[in-house]
Amino acid sequence: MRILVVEDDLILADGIANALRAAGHAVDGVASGPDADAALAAAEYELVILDIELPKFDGFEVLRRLRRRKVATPVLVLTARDSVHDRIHGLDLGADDYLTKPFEMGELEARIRALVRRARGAADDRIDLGRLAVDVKGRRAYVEGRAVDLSAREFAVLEVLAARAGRVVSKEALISTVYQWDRDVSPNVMEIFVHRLRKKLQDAGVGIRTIRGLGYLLERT
Amino acid sequence: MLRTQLLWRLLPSVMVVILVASFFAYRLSLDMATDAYDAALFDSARSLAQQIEIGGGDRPSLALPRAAEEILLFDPHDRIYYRVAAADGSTVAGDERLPMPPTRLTGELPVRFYDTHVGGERVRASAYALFTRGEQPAGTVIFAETLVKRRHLLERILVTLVLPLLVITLMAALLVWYGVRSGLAPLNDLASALARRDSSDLRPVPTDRVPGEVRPAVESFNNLMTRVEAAQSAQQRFLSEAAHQLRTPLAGLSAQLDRALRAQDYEAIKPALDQLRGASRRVTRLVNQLLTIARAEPGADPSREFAEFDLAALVQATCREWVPDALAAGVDLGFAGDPGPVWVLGHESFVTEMLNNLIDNALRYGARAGQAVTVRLASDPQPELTVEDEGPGVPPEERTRIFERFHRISGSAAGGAGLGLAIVREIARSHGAQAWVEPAADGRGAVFHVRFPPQKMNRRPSV
Repeated sequence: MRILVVEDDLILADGIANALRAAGHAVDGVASGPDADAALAAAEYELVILDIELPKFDGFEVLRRLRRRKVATPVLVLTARDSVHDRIHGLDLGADDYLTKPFEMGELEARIRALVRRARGAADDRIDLGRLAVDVKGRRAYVEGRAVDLSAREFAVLEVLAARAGRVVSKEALISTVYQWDRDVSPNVMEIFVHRLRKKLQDAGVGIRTIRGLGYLLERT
Repeated sequence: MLRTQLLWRLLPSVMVVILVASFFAYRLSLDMATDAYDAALFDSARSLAQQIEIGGGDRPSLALPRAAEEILLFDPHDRIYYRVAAADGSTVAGDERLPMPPTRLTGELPVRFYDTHVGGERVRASAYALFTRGEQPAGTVIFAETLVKRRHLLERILVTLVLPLLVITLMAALLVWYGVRSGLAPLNDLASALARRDSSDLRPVPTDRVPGEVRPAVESFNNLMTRVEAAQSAQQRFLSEAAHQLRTPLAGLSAQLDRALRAQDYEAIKPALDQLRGASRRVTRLVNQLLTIARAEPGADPSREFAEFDLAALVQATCREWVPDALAAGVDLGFAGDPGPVWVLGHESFVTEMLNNLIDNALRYGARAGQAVTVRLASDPQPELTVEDEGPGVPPEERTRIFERFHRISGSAAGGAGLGLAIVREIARSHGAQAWVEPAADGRGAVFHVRFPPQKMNRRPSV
């Protein structure tokens, strides 16, 4: 994938470019507003990582010119300023995501993956967690290749938990994936689903943890 | 400007006083002058009357010698008219153009003064009744004069009255103008002294040369200066403390970098790099905390951006974000209490930051692996957020000081700069909320409280 990195701090630009090249991307780097504008007019990129505080004219201006040319390339804005006002301004101008300095490279890489996936219009259709594989398209789950016998609703709950593995999903969010919002469902119903899922996924290498008052979390065991 | 203002207020009232005073003085002198001229007029009428004889048939007749008539009728300024009329109104002598008095003269009131006209000219007339020996009306003597000398007198009265008054008004204006200027001179001195001051010079202004009326203002100003100086030196201490706090992880960074640069192979570099990662995280966290403090500063006044939000949703979302960190540390982080909505007026991202610091504090110093941290939310009678841990607790003598900037309990676990709870206190304060710490009910662990003020819109019916 071809990525343009617009960053005038050379140490940071070097760090980003090296990490992205190591991940197999083709990276071009520029360090000023006009250079970024020229690079974006000359070549086609799949992603732009754009700093706001730039020499000559700033990243907001680069973004404005890019969107004026009707170029839809995803833009990830980097900035040292994290005021809500700046964030809204950037998103209004057509930025796709926002990252505040300093950040960790892992965070940047995750954001890039999400942006590109969104731009290509496809979500992951397969989630692998330990011995568990969730086939989102086929609506089936496998443990070491063997299909797990799940009802449609059990699969829906597992799908949400797996997609957000390692993070807490609230009971309400899980219920709303299983039932219509206008149906009056007791929150306890989720305990039944989770209980059944735990049983069926006993040797899948994952566990569903109950987080007091907050929801459930799928984790590798 | 003060002078113009004073003049505008003073001059109209001075003018009104002067006009009213002039009016009454004028009326008084006019009355007195009229009385004097009228008396002279009456004397002339009576002198004329003495020359009249009441003859047969009770008809008056005038036998006035030529010389006497000239004396009587001579006046240097005015034209003189006279008329002697019989009881039936017929003219016996004099000018019959001179009108009779408007009312009949009687025995009780034999004299009358009145204004009338002769040949189109205004005159002042004095009528004097004549009686027979039998006290019967015999006729009337009228003596009149034009108004020339009376008008002269009037003009002189006006000039002598009004001119000094005008002079007085002018002097009052000048007095105000220059009086205010000299009265304000100490203020001007004060202003130029302040203008010449260096911006770092926050000493109080000397009050000995300041007029008493202005002293309270100057003293308040001096009070403000003292407070500004206190705030400024607090800022200065904060800045240098912050820089010192940054030095430590930077020194670590630098040391680990040198170690990595000297290393020969990856196995030797790796531990240094892990340490570098840790140091860089500490710097990042510290800088973020410093920025939060700067934005939550009382002077920044976040209340302009206050909006209503559901505190229960915010608390639960924030707790969910922290669960992975808590699990990694082996801590059981949970939420209990009001599931919401609990409506609060405030700054959502600041309140999130406050809770972040409370949970971070509990995970860092409060709870060890296998212990629990519980975040609670109550909404009645007012929103109250608590974060409870099962750790060592906070000694009584530290319970206030831990909320101060850069204060750390000595001997506590490493890593923090002592800013987290200061951020909690400052954000709580900007929301009118109280923040404090208590020991847990069973004496084990600490409970951090943040009590919000009662909310007007609490528990809005959910749609």
